[in-house]
Amino acid sequence: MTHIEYFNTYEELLDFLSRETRFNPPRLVEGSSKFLGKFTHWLFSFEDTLSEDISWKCIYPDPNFNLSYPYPVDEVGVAVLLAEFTAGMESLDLLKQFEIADSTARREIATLSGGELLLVSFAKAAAYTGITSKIFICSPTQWLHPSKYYLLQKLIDIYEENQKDVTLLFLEGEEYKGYSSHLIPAASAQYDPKIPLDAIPWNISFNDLKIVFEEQLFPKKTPFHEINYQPQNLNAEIFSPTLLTGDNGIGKSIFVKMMNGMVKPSQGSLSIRCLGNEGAARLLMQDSLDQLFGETIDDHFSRVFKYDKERGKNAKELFQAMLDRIKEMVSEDALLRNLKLIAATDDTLVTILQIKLALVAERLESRPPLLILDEPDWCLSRMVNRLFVSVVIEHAHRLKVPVLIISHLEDWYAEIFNSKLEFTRGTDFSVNISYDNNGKLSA
Amino acid sequence: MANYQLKLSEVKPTWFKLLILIFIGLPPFTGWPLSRFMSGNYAVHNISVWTAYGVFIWLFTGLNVGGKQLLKYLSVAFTASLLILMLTGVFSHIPFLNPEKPADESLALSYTSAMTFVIMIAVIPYGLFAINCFSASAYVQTLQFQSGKRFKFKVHLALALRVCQHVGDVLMKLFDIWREENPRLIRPRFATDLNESKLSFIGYILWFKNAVVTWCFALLSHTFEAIPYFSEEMRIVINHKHQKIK
Repeated sequence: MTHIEYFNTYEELLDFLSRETRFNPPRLVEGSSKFLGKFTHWLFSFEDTLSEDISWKCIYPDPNFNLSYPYPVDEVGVAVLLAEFTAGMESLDLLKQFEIADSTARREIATLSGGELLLVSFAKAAAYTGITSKIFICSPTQWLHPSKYYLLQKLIDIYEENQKDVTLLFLEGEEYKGYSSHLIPAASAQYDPKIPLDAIPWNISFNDLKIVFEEQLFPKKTPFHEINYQPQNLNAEIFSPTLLTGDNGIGKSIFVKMMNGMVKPSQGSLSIRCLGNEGAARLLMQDSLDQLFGETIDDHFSRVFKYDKERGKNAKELFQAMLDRIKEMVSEDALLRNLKLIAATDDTLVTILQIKLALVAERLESRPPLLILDEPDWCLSRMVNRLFVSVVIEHAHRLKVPVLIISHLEDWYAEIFNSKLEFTRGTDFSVNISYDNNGKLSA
Repeated sequence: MANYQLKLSEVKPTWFKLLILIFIGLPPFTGWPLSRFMSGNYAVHNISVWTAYGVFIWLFTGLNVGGKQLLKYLSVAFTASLLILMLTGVFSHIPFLNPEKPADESLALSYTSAMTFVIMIAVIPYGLFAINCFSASAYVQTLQFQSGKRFKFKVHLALALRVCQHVGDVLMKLFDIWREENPRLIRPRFATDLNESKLSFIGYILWFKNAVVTWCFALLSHTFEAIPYFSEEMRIVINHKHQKIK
């Protein structure tokens, strides 16, 4: 039996999940101090709950929390053995069913992309079918490329065939094509924030770009892997807002880490430029919560701008301006008002939307040649995401900073982006990068 | 180094592997057998003995993990050792913690610091190697076929092992985040006031101290954040085992 639940905000989704599972782990959103207090409380009450029966499995919104061991092959290996999943089925076979190749299965979990982590989580959940009575799958489409949605269906089918309950927890606007599409609320499709977004040109150039992941011998033998970006030379003018799409694990996140300077290419060079501003892009990561470094928003601003008071003041003003803009738009729109966004009504509770805005404000204050939003839709419903992205682009463009959005959900940004970068798999280790200026160049 | 790889992590049974690791790692805990070569009067001689042990232990670790992994372990060891040495140095100059000391005591302090540094850079890579020699997943898999005796304790042990290994993953992730925020790593991205100040060195020391504290809290809380999820996983193991026994 499959149920679908829709939520307007991530916070509501988590509330529902903790009510249903009675599992309410301490979270880091309120900073290390509060977290450590709550963690201590959890730790001392842990033994009391140890004997409780657990018959549910959950695919959490952050795939990192679905996995307990350092390698996919171990992760699924334990599950297969423990749950005595289909006699004779090896963990590698099961992973292959969920499109995780042998070489990927032997790579460290820490080096996998978000989408790959989710697919490993699916394989693991499939192995646990025998010893669980129900599964909760939270917001899976935000990590998964649409071409991989059939694997979500495969997981649901495995549970349904075994007469187990499946609950899909979607954030409003998430579409899962091919499954009960008539149940999807149409509210977000009607929403248009009416923020005029102009186009800012920026330039990307690279030649002979390659990244190599050497073979590792310890703790587990990890195979050699490389990504060879094609064409060999590219020098393109594209227009912000720009959308970057591509399959799970194709190398998008590593590419933007090279744009940011966090990862150095093993070969070749990559540069970005906007209106004479050249240098490293700033990046809002996919799991952006971690970028607060375990601090509260205020503490984060205080530490980062401790030795640049002027910019610190500007960043705080920018953060407040973006938040005010959101509140203003919520108050003007009946659809948004119905969402009852905590971020728009209550300044005392920290929400994921506020955290993302604070991190964006800090990044914009460094006036980078490009701001990258890696899966900004993570943990945001479609309408809230549209609001967030529109407000960020509006403020970034005022500061002459172009914005690059990485997402699998092309539909969510169809009315926003001016140019599109697309990554497709080539032969062997190569990845083809193509761009489309959506008619801007010919115009 | 890769051509001559030792595979201690694959040694079976596990208790024998543990015995080898303990035997090689004995000197930092007991002093033996290095104490036999030490001399009470010659500081340089004693440090040399520890350095020789350090070289041996690096070589042993390197032959097991490969050159690149050894370099990663060494970078962690040098960073941690230098930080501790610097903090010890700062604390030793705080008057109320250290009332006036005679010159020979200061000399003794320098000797102790140098010795601590050498021991730390020798032992940390070995410690990291030793922790990663054991696989939490393989251990949990063996629990499946064991009797119920002290089962819960063994599951807790597996959880503890996994949490220790998880520190490495968190460290990598936080390092990426830190580098995005501060591309020069040991200088803040936003440092206009610091550069213009006449007391910039003091400001920098304060920034550095803050960074260390922030890192410690972040490392602790990000590592702990995953523990409830790990423990839920372990609870499934326990429950399933109990049901099978019933």
